[in-house]
Amino acid sequence: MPELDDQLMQQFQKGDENAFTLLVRRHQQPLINFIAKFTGNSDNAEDLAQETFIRMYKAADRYKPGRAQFKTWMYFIAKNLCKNDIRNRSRRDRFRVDNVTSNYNDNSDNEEEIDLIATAPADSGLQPDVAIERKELRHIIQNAIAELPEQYRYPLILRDVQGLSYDEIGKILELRSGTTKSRINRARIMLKNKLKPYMESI
Amino acid sequence: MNCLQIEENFSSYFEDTLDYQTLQTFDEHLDNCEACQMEYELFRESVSELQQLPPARPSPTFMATLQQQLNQEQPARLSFWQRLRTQFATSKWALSSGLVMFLVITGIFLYQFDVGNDDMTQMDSLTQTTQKVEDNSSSIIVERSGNATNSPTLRTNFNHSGTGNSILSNTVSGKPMQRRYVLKQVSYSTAVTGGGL
Repeated sequence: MPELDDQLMQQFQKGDENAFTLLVRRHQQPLINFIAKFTGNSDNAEDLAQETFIRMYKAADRYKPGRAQFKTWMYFIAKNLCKNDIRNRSRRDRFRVDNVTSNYNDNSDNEEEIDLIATAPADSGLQPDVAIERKELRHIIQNAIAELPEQYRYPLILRDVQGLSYDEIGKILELRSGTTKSRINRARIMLKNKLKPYMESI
Repeated sequence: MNCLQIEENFSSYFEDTLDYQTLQTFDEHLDNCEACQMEYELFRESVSELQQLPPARPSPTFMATLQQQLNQEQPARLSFWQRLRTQFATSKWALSSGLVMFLVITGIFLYQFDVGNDDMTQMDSLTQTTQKVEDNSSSIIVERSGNATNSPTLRTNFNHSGTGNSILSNTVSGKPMQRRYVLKQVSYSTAVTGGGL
């Protein structure tokens, strides 16, 4: 599979635009899934995926077949875009909550603004619920992932959502094999601890 | 193996990558530790649920939208010099080697400049010294000048063993470079005039 990616990239570097289209078709779904899981926001996952492909398209000339895998390169770019997106969103949300809070203090009857507070990212702990359904559990898992520190969230998603090997994850995150393994184990334990109240109640 | 070590091996156990000996120890601990049994069961369920999360899929318009954006872009085609510059800019080794080259070239330049100055200083001092020696022992100078070339080197050689020795060594041996220069010249003049003298 990686060899096919390399061949397609080489063809694209020679001027075959269809080769790049094929690459996009092959990787669009895993990439969008990765971005949606990592950012916890599927609304702009497609935008970020498109931005990733555009960056690869523009920098295709610098791609060295055989030296780095197409997939590794793709996730590396996507990871940086996700980081920026999360940073920008948290800045925007903070600004919005600050504004709403100050306005709310001025005028407590403004219900629309109270709704805005409710839509801001929740940092509250997950509440146990015995009647939880499978769909809700998935939603809770998604929230639990989003709450993990970035250094644990990345390898966890790449391993358990994207199904990459430890070696590939190490290359993308620029980590040694031992560090990659221990981070993934630590991330899984953190996830388990977050889900504990829900899993026990099911 | 204690409970903490067992937890550190949860992933390897889950992925079945433990070596035989560790696997035996792990199983043995798990059989006798209820807390670890519970923790591992939760661990296994959490990871399994995570792995079964439904994947996000692209919308039907994804490719068309991307294609539109790509049509507005041009893939980067770097020229040779741009590529060279990029590689040079991103290479730490290139930067380091450039710095070393600069230091070496600067060192050579300063060394040569210093030697050049020394040559000039030496020539000046030799001339002055010779004049002084000539004043002090003019008869010997005349005699030697007549036998060989009229180069200042010969005069120096002669003066070293002559009357003006103390004056010359005081003047020339002020700097190590000057002294080397004199010795070199002495050797040269000896070689040239070895048979003649």
